[in-house]
Formats: sequence, C-alpha cells, structure tokens
Amino acid sequence: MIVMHGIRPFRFARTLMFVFAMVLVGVFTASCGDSEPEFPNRDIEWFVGFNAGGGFDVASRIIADKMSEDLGVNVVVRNIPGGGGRRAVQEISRGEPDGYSISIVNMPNQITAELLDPEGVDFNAISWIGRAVIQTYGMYVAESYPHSTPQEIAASSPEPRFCLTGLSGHSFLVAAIATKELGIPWNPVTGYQGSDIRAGQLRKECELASGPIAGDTLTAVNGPDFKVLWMFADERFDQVPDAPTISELGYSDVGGATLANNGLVMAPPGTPDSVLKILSDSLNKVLDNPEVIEAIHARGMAVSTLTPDTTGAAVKGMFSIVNENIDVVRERAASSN
Amino acid sequence: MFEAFGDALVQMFQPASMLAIFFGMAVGVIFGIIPGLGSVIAMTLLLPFTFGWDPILAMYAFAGIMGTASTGGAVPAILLNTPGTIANVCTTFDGYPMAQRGEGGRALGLAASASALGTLFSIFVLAALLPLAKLMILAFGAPDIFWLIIVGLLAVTFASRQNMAKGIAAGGVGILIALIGFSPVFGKLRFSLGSEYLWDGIEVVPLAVGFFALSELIAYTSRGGTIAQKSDIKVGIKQLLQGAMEVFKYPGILLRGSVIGTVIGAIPGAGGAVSNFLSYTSAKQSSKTPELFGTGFAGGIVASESANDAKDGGILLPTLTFGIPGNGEMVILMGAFVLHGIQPGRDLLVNRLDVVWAIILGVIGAQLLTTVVILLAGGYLARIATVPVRYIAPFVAVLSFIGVYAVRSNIWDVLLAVAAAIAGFGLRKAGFPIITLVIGFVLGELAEKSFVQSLQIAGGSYSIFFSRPVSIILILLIVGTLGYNLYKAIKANVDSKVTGA
Amino acid sequence: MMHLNRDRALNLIVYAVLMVFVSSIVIGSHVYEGRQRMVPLVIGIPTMLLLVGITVVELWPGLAQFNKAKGGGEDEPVPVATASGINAGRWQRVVTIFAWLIGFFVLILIFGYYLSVPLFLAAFFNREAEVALRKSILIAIGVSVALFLLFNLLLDIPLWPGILPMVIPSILGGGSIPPLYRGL
Repeated sequence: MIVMHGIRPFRFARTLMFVFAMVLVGVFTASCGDSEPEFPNRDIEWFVGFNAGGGFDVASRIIADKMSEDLGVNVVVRNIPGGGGRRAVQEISRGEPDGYSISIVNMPNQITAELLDPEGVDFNAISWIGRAVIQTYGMYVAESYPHSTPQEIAASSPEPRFCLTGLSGHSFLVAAIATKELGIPWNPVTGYQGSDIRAGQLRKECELASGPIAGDTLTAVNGPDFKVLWMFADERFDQVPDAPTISELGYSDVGGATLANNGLVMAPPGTPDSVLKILSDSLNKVLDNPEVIEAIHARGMAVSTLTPDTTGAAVKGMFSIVNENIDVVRERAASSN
Repeated sequence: MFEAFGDALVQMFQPASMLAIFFGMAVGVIFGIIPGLGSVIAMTLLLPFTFGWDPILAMYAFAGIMGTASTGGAVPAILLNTPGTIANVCTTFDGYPMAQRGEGGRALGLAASASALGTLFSIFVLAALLPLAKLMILAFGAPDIFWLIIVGLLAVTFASRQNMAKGIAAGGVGILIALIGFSPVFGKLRFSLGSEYLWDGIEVVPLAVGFFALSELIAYTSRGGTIAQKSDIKVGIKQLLQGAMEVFKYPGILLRGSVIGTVIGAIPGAGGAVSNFLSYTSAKQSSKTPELFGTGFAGGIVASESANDAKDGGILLPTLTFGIPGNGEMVILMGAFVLHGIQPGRDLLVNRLDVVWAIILGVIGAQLLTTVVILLAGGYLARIATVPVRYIAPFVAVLSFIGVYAVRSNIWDVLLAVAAAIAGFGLRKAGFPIITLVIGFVLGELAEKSFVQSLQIAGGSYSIFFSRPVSIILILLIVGTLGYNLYKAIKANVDSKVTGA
Repeated sequence: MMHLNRDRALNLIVYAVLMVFVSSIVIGSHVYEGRQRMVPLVIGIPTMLLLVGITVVELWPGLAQFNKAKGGGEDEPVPVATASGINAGRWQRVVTIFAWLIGFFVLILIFGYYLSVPLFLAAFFNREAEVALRKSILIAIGVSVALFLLFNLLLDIPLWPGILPMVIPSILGGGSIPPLYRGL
C-alpha cells in the first residue's frame, strides 16, 4: 500500500498515466504509416566497430558529414566496439534491410576472423555499398637496422623478430602472409599497444613491423629514428617516395592491393537494389570531392571507389587470398604458445 | 621554444580558450565524480563531439579533462567511500573516515591542493626532462614493466586494510577475471564459455562501477541515515582552506607522491593506478606513525592525491616526445591529434609547439581552476554527507547505469555492473578487499602480457627477467619489501604472544 | 569448530563461490597449450590454496591467531569483518535494494533509459524516500528531461532505447540486443 500525502493523489497518478498511454498510442500509430515515404526520410546510422579516433572512424566521420549534406538527412556515426570489429558485422548481418543501418568494416580481416572462428556470417549475402578507404601497409624498422631487402632479412643472423600488437588483426595477417611469401623466419613479439611497437624497436626487443604508414607512424618514418623498407603495393607511396614497393623488389605476389586494408561499407542482406544505389551514388559522390580526398589522404589513407557489384567481386577476391593462406595464418597464430 | 610558450600563454587567456578549458574541466570533474567513469571515458565521448572545432581549442578541452578527472574523483572517494576513478582508491582510506567525523570539507581541501601541487610538480618535471625523455623510455623494457607491475600488485596487497590473506586471494581472483576473453598476445579465446559477450573479456568500467559505486550504494542505503556520523559537520570555506593549507605540513609525503606519480606515469604501459598505491604504501611504511594511516589521516590523502595527479605530466612525456601513448588517456589524445589533422609524435616538438603548450597550459589551468572550484563548492559538496542516503542513492544508481552503458553501448554491461554489485557486497561482507581485486584485474592482464612478451623477446629464455639493471633494482625492492613485512608480521606475532603470556 | 551462524554461513558461501570460480579457471586452463595456461595455473593454484586456508580458518577459528599477525597491525573482530559500515543484520533492506537495482535494469532493458529513469526515480523517491507522489514524479521528470537534453541533444550520445518495437527512433524502442551467445 502506498502511503499518500497531498490532495487526490490517486486521481493525479491515474490522469498522468492515461495521458502518457495516449501519447504512446498516438506515436505508435503515427509510426505505422500505410506506405514508406521515399528513401531516405530519417537519420541513417553508420556503425563503426571500433572506438572513436581510429583511422576508419575518422574517415567515417568525414564521409558521413558530407553524405548528410548530399542526402538531406543526418548520417550519424555510432561506435559499437567489440570483438575486433565483429560486433558491427553482426549488427549489420542481422539488421533490417531498409538502408538506415550501414557499417564500415575492415576487410579482409573480418574474413580471416570468420574463417578462424566461424560465426555464420556469409559475406557473399551481405549487401555491399562500396569502398570508403584503402590503407596500404608497409614494412618499417628502426634506422639502425642493417638489412633492407627480403633476401637479406631472410638470411640474417640472429633471426629477426616481428613486433605485433597481437596475433589478430590486419597487421598480423600481413605479417603472417608476408613472412611466408618472402621466406622470413617467424619470430613474433606480441603485446605492443600500437605505437609502443616503435619503442620496442628502439629498445631492440624486435626488429620488423608492418602497419599503415599513416599518422604517428608516418611522422616517425620521415624522422631520424625509423625508415620504411618497402610498401606492400605496386606503386610508390607519395608520402614516403624513397621506399620501394615490394613488387619492385621482385615479390609482386604480395604487391598491389593483396595486403591492403579495405574499409568497405555494407548494409544488411536483402537491402533493395534501389536503396543500395542511392547510398552508393552518394558515397562515391562524396569520395569524389577533392576536400574529402585531401582530408582522408592527410590521415594516411587513400580513396578508391567501387560500386556495389565491384565491391562484391573484390570481397570474393579477398576471400580467395585469405583462404589460400589460412593454414599459414593458423600456424602463425598458434606459434606463440 | 620560449616564444611559443609566450604566444601560448597569451592565447590561453582568450575567451574561447578559457571557455574550452572550463568546458574540459567541467566534463572532467563530472566524469571524475561519477564513479567508474573517469577521464578515458570522458575523452572518448568528447572526441567525436570536437570534430570541426579549432584544433587548439580541442586540445584545451582535452587537457582540461586530463587535468581534472582524478581530482573530481576524490569527491565521492571522500564523501561516499566510492572512488570516482581507480586512481582515487587510496583516498578513500583516509578521506572517508574524515567525512564520517564531519571533516569532509577539510578532506576536500587537502585533496584539491595536493592534486594541484602534484600536477604542477609533474608539469615542471616534464618541461625539464623533455631532453632526457628518450633515455627514460628506452630504459624500461618488457621485463622491467613486468617487475614494476609485481611491485604494484604487492603494494596494493600491503595497502589493504583487511586481512592480508584475503587481500592476496582477492588480488588473485582479480587477475584470473582479467584472463577471460580474447588474448591478442596468444590470438586465442580463453574461459569465455562460448559467450559472444565475453569475447572482449570483462570490461573494467562495469566491474569497477558495480564493485565500488553500486555495492557501496547497497551498503549505505540498507544502513540508512547519512554518510556523516555527526550532525555538526564542518563545511565552511574556513575548513576547506584549512585543509588546503594543511598539505604543506607534509612536504616529504607530497614530494615523494609527486615523484612517484611522475615517474610511474612516464613509463608507457605501467598503469597509472599503481602510482596511487605505491605512494600511499611508501608514505605509510616510512612514516613514524603508520598506525594513523587509514584512520582519517591527512597525510594519507596527500600521498594518494599528489601521486594520481602527478602522473598527468608524466604520461605526457612519452606521448609528446615519441608519439607513444603512456595510457588510455594518451591513446585517446593521439586519436584527437589525428582527428584534428595534427601529426602525433616528435613532429609536435618541432613544428607544433603551440599544440604542446596548449596541452601543458591547459592541464595546469584546468587543475588550478578545479582546485578553486572545489574550494568554493566544497562546502556544498561536503553537505552531501548530511543528506539522507535514500535521496542520494537513486541518483547514484541512474548515473552509474548511464555511465556503464555509455562506454561501448552494450546493455549487458549494465547487467554486469549489477552482478558485480551483488558480488562486491558479498565479498565486502566476507572481508575481502574489493580494491585488491579490481587492481589485480587491471594489472593482471598487463602482467601476463609483459611476461609473455619478455619470453618472446628472449626466445623463451627466463634469464631476461634477471639480466637488466632496472629489473634487478625492482627485484631487490620486492625482496626487501616482502622481507620487511614478514619481519613485521613475525614481530607482531611474537609481541602478541609475549603480552598474552 | 564454531557454531554455524548466519554470518558465518554467508561467508562460507562466498568462499565457496570464489573456489568454484578459481577451480574452473585452473581446471579449464588444461585445454590450452603452453604459455596460455601458465598464468592461470601460477595464479590460480596458490589462490585456491589461500581460499582453502581461509575457509579452514573460518571453520576452526583457533587458527585465527595466524591471521591476526598477517594483518596490517589492525585488530579485526573475528569472524565477521564489517567493511564500510555494512550492517549484517539488515538483510531485508539489502535484499530490497538488490531488487530495486535488478528491477531498474529490467525496466531499462525493455523500455529504454528515457522511460525507465523517470519511472525508477519516481517509484524510488515515493516508496523508499517517502516523498509525496506528485513531488516524486516532478523530480523524476525534471531529471529525465535534463538527461535527454544532455545526452540526446547536446552530446548526441544515444542511450539504450529498449527492446519494444520502434516508437521514436533512437529514443524509444527498436533496440538491437548484442548477442550473449552464438545464435542468440
């Protein structure tokens, strides 16, 4: 029994609850319209599977800002970190295919994660919108490191150690495949937090590191303490023009876009083609904007647009590369025990 | 360098800059006061919000948060026995007993001034040590960090007010909880029982909020009454200023705490929470009156608060000189650099001294502002101790539930916090110190990571743990501390048998 | 062995829960290889032994002489340690507060923050703090409006909208629960 004070409290409470219920009914009824207006007619949520501040998050915010202007609705970035990006993938794979929930996802890392630890995500069923950004990886070392080609490194004694944040993620994937293709012995030193890797290299705890040559890494390799040995690409990286490409060094199998980190934009399976076209056209229009290209480039990433169909084809290509190398990846991941 | 400093000083007094510092300070204090949140969450949430700001103003805002969150965290630590951040844990040992005696205002004054002085000391050291930063950072390798964490774990155990066996057991449980989930070091999932939620392991914020804020809420709400056991509490500005001036009666503790905070803060990955405990335990062990610690002793608050704010200058050292983030705050700060088109790392010291000074002056300005705010508002804040707990409790619950969810937008984190509250209550009831469990949790993963990393560096050889000069010094420190405490325990045992005979 | 009163029984339950947890980790670590199980074993086994010792002392307090010496010189009443003012006798109040917290979580899960916070605050103020209903509701609405302004409008941080069908996007309904287990 509620002890009451004041005048006619029961009536007040009843009235309040009645009004509240009517408001709820009214809103609920209003939201069930006879037909859906043209897409888009409300905010679009752009999920990022990592915490704010990272490369893909920054790119997403730049792009989302411009897409909001283009589409006439807010494209709002939401960070839902978890599972190394898998939570965002799951959110989209189960989402409503109405175009109002999309996500940027790091590929082919998510393919690797799925092959190593299946969760039933079918990347061929996903509705692809396009590619937001692409990051080219490079191999970098401390300035004092005496070797510069894969052959020298493979033959060096003592064997070089590879600095890693962990045995997962795109840097690990690049390290695992590259060491196998280039004949470099696998001696991982894990547990560094991002930029700690360079401290480890300076302390001579490990020698080799692979990662996107961007941000603080870019500053470091353009300074006196570090250098880039090569870029995993076919063309030289304009921000580090003196670094050869791995293709120039004779290993074109790991050149090109093979080991690049792609920020692909996805929508839930079954999203109508008409909606995908609207999103894709808007995305690619934004990515054609010189301001956007410059802003993304300044953060160490590149713009390389794709349509929904070509994105799907690219995903198939990534799938086959990862599949070919999955045994090596698995073996490398088990080796630290 | 000095020209850039002069320009930055002028810029700092522009209205927009002052507003940015004040905004950062307000956010930092609020997130510090709300248990479990703290500066990392505040900076994470603020980061996207600053997209589009002038970079220097954004840096002032972030510096404002960094400089003030742990000072704000002293408020609930003193008034509610609930540390606002992990770095305020030791402040509860003496702050809360003071509040219970009706001297919450004095305790807040002590905390505010010890924080300010600790920050000023560390910023001064930062400026002086910039040329030596490289040597310091290179001196600490993975094995040294491993031993430093062991020192921290031991300090935590000895700082426990409860039965030491239970303290050690709680610490062990905390370490084991930290092992749940995906380990990037091994690339393997462990102990997750197939749960998607546990893939990322147990998140520290829901655990800490549940253990500290919510279990304490259960305790005081079920007890009823008010926090302050006395009705005539001293809350005037006079008591606050008395507390603020009292810090100068403990110059040795203040200096030691500031040095420990700065040095530990400067070591990347060492864990800022450790400095708090190291300062407290070393102050207690070197004091002529160690029995006063834990009873509402002013020196205890000075030891804790000077260290946890001195780390602000320390952690900037590796970040600004190398672009190597010292802790979670610095990771977010570097994200802010990237977001605002600033290249982090050594380029800052060469081409962007304006950014460097903005951060340094922002931290100092925000800390001094916070000290003034706490001294002015402390009287009102201290009155929280006289408000019946049944009015405070629902606000603490609401803020805790919101804060926990805001970390990664996962509703199950809220359930985890509730489960931790129940577990925390049970553990307290059974005499286990929650603090050692949480610190074990925070440091356990770091300890394993640095241990495995050391073995990988050495190709599997354990000799790496005993071959570096810094490691040897730390091992001697550990052996010495253990030996001393064992001697004290045996002596106490013998003395009690003698007096009982 | 001392008489098993309620306080001691509850302590033993806590020790048992901890021992179950620690032993699960120790036993579970055997499926992992090499260094993956090193820390679980190195920490888990001594922790287990300590917990066994603590349980033994609880059951046979004559051995408590040992415990007193290990503490920081402070005397503790044996066997119950009261920390931060927890009164072991007020169990009904403790259970009530637990129920409030759990109920608040369930409300949030279903209805989201913007509906649950005012409901919880109004109900708690009225039932526990014995504030008049009208005043409770007004305080609750005031706080909730402030939260809405702060999180939704100022900071643009969406709070959990609840698992109802979507009523108002990002505010009420339409929440997608992160999976607890595969397939759920």
